[in-house]
Amino acid sequence: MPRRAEPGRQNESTLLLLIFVLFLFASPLTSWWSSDQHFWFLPYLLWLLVILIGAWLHYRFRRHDP
Amino acid sequence: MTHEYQLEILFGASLLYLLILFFIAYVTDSGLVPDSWTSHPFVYVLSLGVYATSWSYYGSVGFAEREGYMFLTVYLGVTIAFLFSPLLLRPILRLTQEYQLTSLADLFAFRYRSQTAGVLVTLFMLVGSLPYIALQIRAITTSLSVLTHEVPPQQLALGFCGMLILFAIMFGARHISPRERHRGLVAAIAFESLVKLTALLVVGLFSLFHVFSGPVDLSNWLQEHPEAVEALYAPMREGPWMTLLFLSFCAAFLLPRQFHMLFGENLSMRSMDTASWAFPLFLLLLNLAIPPILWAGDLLQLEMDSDYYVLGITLVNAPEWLPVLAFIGGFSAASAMVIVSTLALSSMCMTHLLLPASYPDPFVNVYRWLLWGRRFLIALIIMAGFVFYHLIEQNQGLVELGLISFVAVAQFLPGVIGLLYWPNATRTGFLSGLCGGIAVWVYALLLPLLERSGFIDSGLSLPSLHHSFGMQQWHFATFWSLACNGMLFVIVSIFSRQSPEERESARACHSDIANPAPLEGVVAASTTQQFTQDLAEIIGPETASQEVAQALQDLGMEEDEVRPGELRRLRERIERNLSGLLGPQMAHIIINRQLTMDGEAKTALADSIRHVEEQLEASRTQLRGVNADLDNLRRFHRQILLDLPLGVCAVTPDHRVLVWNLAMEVLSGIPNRKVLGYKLNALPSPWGDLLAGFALAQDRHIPHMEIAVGGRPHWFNLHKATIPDPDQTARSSASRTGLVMLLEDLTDLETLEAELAHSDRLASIGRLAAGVAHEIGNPITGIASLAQNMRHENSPEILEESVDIILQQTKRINSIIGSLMNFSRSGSVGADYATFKLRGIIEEAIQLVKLTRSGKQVDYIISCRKKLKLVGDRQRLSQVLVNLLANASDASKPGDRIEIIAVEEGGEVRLEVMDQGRGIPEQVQQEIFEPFFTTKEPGEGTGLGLSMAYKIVQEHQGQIEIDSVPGIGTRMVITLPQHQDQQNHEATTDH
Repeated sequence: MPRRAEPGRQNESTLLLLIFVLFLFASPLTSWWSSDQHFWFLPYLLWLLVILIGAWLHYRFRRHDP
Repeated sequence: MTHEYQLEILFGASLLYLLILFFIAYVTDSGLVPDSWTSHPFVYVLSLGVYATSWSYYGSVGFAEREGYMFLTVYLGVTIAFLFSPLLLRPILRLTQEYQLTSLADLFAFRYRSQTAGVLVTLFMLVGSLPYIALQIRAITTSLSVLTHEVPPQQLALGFCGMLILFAIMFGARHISPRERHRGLVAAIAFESLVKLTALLVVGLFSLFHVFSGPVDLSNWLQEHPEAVEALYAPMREGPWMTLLFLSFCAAFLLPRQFHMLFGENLSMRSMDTASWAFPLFLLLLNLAIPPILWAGDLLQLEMDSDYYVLGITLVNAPEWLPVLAFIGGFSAASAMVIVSTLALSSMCMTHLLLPASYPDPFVNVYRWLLWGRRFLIALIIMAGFVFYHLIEQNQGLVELGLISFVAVAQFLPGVIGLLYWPNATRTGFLSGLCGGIAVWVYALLLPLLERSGFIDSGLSLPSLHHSFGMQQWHFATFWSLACNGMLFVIVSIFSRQSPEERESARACHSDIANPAPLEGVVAASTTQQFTQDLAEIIGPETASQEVAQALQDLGMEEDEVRPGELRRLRERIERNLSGLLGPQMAHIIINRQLTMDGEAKTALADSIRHVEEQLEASRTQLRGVNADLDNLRRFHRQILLDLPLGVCAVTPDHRVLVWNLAMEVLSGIPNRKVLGYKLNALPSPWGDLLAGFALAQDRHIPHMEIAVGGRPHWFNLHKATIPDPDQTARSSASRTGLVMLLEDLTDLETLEAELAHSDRLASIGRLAAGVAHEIGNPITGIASLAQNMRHENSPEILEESVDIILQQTKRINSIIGSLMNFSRSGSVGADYATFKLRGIIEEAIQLVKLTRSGKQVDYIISCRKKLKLVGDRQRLSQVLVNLLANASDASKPGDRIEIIAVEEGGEVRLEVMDQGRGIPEQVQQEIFEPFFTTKEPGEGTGLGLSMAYKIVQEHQGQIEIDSVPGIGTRMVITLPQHQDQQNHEATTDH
């Protein structure tokens, strides 16, 4: 069941997700996973992972705004 | 087998497609499509797909070929921006919705309170967007050339521009009011996104299953050509990956079309929350097909620019409809971008360039003027894009043109960060930073582009400064333009000062809640009609009347509103509404000039407290940390005040009602919405006079005040205290203090006391019953004997004497019964105040007391002037005397005397009842006025007599005292005020 909006907690989660995304896509880690060339769709899989986490957070903190 | 198409067919297909789009927009605007569909968050998400232009549609494949997976940065940056929406996009959406800001230029003009900021942002946005619009026109003409194998004439490009102008006007500048949301436009753009997504996925599937023979074949091909995958990954490790990620992050919400769809056409916060994950998913799906299309193009060894592989592969062994679908997909992407960007830019140009330069005459209908102005600007901007397309170098890549715009809009990021998170950022700092950033952008990107296109010859060796080409050029331009911009912004902001207006805007931008600032001041116009008249001088009577009516409707106010606080809110609302129409700065200037504030009138915090409370209530869920705790505390204290069982009425320094709690509503029968903000003396009778009078009175407490409410008497204790304004200095607070008044309802208590008094009287009658029987029995026996004798008596003299005696005895019985009846009847408190002779009630009381056994055995001496009069409730004062005399006779021995002395002393009547009884011990004297306290034997007294006497005397504003010495006697002293008119009356009658 979606929780009531908790701006403080939602912001914390958003920041954590942002750090994770930056770590994944804007750090030396990017060079590491991009050196594995077995799967051409690897960037898409990582991208999808980030979107799924974002969607999960959205439903976790779904707001009751109009 | 390759297909060839005729230009006319493709032009016709494009026109048909635009007509379908217009039909969608039209049926949506007409309300033929259910609201639940058009306002669904997924429609909003799809409409954001306007981000993906022909650059994404065609250019991604070329970008992927040249820079590998670097092309994904253009969408990953957007993903980051959207996942970050609670901290980035939501606050901007709150501001744009609350203050009716329709563009980024509006937002900056509002925050930095500067028309210059609006002008600069608009101009730069316009210049930065022209290459992008040119890119779309290029994409359409080149795609036509790919399909027709011939170079399309310039007239065709011009024809497409004309078509786009027409549809842009039909989509976004059809209505009179530019302020309203364009649901039809949103639906049409959402449909366009769906078309381009479908087209690209179909082409991707065609590549996978027809060019290759399925995923397995593709996999085998990739194993045979490992360099194809390596070509995708290698640039990620070497190129300016982070720079592009950053640029697309900025573009996600700063590009004019993105800002317009994200904030201008948004209907709810919920949609934005859904978009935070759904829009990145849309982009992922859109890009999924790019690598297979690229490899399919390589496999087919297409001899064309890889930017157009999407079209190229559909021309080889594909069904005839596929190239047309692919072309429509590309046309869809380009036309959506041009239409939305142009609408956004035209709105900005209107409010920040055209309006300040040539404000229309008041007699011109402003709405119509704005509508035609926007139409003109739409045409002008698209034609400027066409000119730019015509001028630039033909072989300039799609991505290069797009990235120029991306770097341009990234210059707004420092300003946005300042707007959201740096309250001390200043207008000068923002303008300096932006100018610095623009200068570097022009030098590093625009001039080289124009020089390469042969349009200008600057004579400068432009690239020599950075010695970099290709992707490094973007890295260089982005870094230095933003570094220059950011540094100037910070340094100049630190060394410059904000104006008061700017500070106020900064406060609004940085608050958790919408517009928390108290509204200070009083508007000079005192009625809504005056508002309309004042505004009509600048915006014309028709527009003024519509705007005032709209603002009244928004706030749920009546046209006859006169409360200064409400008129202040109305003024603010009109400014916001005008901001959506004319831009924030223009609206601010008009409102400040036409709806001036009264310089004389002073306001206190109390005047705007209701506004602050409403804002806090509306934004509760937004509050965090200490703010949320303080808000909970505020609500708790407010609830205490509202639920207090005393009537609470707090007023501002000018006696306007601020608090009217539930008890007050119950007491008065007036709901608080009918009194809040009104002056006390405007309240319905009797509350207006009562409260206004009490507010002005010197007394802080008025006990036992009688007021007729609904024709029935009510009694109240009134208390008041001053509330100093926390914003005022100690010295000046005396003149600017609010008041809190408490009303304690005594009516129930009074009714109870009246019942007690009646019970006390009935108890007294019970005690008198035996005496009454005896007193009545004796005359009746006498009458019976006389009647018996009269039967046998014939002498007329004796008969007449007997009749006289009978009549005399009957009179005596009547007198006793009359006294009892007077004494025992129940009456409401204070119902019968009248002037009466004091001696009369003394004699009556003695007559009653004499009916008791103890009452008979003592002598009564009255010392009272016959004409001495009192004003009061005769029956209740008689009850006091009966109680005192009964107590005195009970305490006396047979043969003792009871003296009743009444004298006038300085406007008062002093009544003493003295007995020679056993007296009352001193320790008991303190308690004898308490209810149910008695020194008599059980069954002989109720203990109510003296407490009732005390109460009744108090009601008559009198005093009762006891002076008793055990063994000698007791003296009860009652002092009652003698009214002035009563004294005059007595003086007249005495003479």
